[in-house]
Amino acid sequence: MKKVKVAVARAGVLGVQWLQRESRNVVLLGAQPASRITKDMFPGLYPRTLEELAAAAKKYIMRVEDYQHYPDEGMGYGDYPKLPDRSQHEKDPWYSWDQPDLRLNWGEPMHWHLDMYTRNRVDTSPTPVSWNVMCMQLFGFLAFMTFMFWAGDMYPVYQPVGPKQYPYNNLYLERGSDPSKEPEPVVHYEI
Amino acid sequence: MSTSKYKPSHLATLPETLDPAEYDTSLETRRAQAERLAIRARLKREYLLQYNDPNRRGLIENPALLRWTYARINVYPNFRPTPKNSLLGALFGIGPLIFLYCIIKADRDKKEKLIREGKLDRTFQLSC
Repeated sequence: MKKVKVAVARAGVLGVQWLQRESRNVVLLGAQPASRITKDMFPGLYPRTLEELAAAAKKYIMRVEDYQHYPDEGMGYGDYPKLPDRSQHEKDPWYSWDQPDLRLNWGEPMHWHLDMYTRNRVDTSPTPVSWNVMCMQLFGFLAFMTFMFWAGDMYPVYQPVGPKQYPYNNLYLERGSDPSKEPEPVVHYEI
Repeated sequence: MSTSKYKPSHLATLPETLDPAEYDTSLETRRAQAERLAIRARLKREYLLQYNDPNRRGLIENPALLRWTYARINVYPNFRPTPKNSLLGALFGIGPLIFLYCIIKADRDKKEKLIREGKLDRTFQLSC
């Protein structure tokens, strides 16, 4: 009994030591140095002068010539760069990206609509035929089929038919007539 | 198939092989490409240093992601009501509500009229 107690006590002590060791590795929330990203590195207002343009390009880690911004229409973009509207499908699949599923590198400016241009969603990669040719083919076919179905509905064409001929004197008994009475004979043929 | 020229559109871009800018080998483009590559290499080096640091324990924060998140959230400080903005807002915000209201009201009025005249088949109706 005493040995069991000692073993339990030792296990308890070891557990506490392990906890202390591990807690040193965990970084406490709020214990980060606050100087990692400063306020001026965040997106700001619409740039108006050349210096603001250059500063914005430097902030977003782009070349000044590459940096285009959205037009100032009050839509809320600010000085965020306007990257080409290309989907992530078009990025090189064989390059070793830092985030292969998003085909994105660390620190690279992200497109405003990146969540739309992921590989699960909108795809802007080149199609085999131009867009207007594809539209013409699809809508042309649909329009033609709609027209043909409408025309067929308007002017139906089928084999000539006559009224259906039933046996047993035009189903005299099945139609509920009096069984004691003799039905009039119904002849459907002519020899 | 006839040889029609490929026209790029909003959702179908020009393939690289048809793009004349791909074959531009002038000095300026080469310099631009070299600069872009230098920036990319610098960012890659910074990322890999942090990634392979044995003393690192937590996540590597991505300032581009933080900026993107910040920009997407703080849209209102850069917002300014313009005629186009207001029109779009009214069209997409209030338009569908009014449209649906009109449709449902018209449908219900028609049904009410039929019920009052006694023309609607209510044999299996459970609600009143």
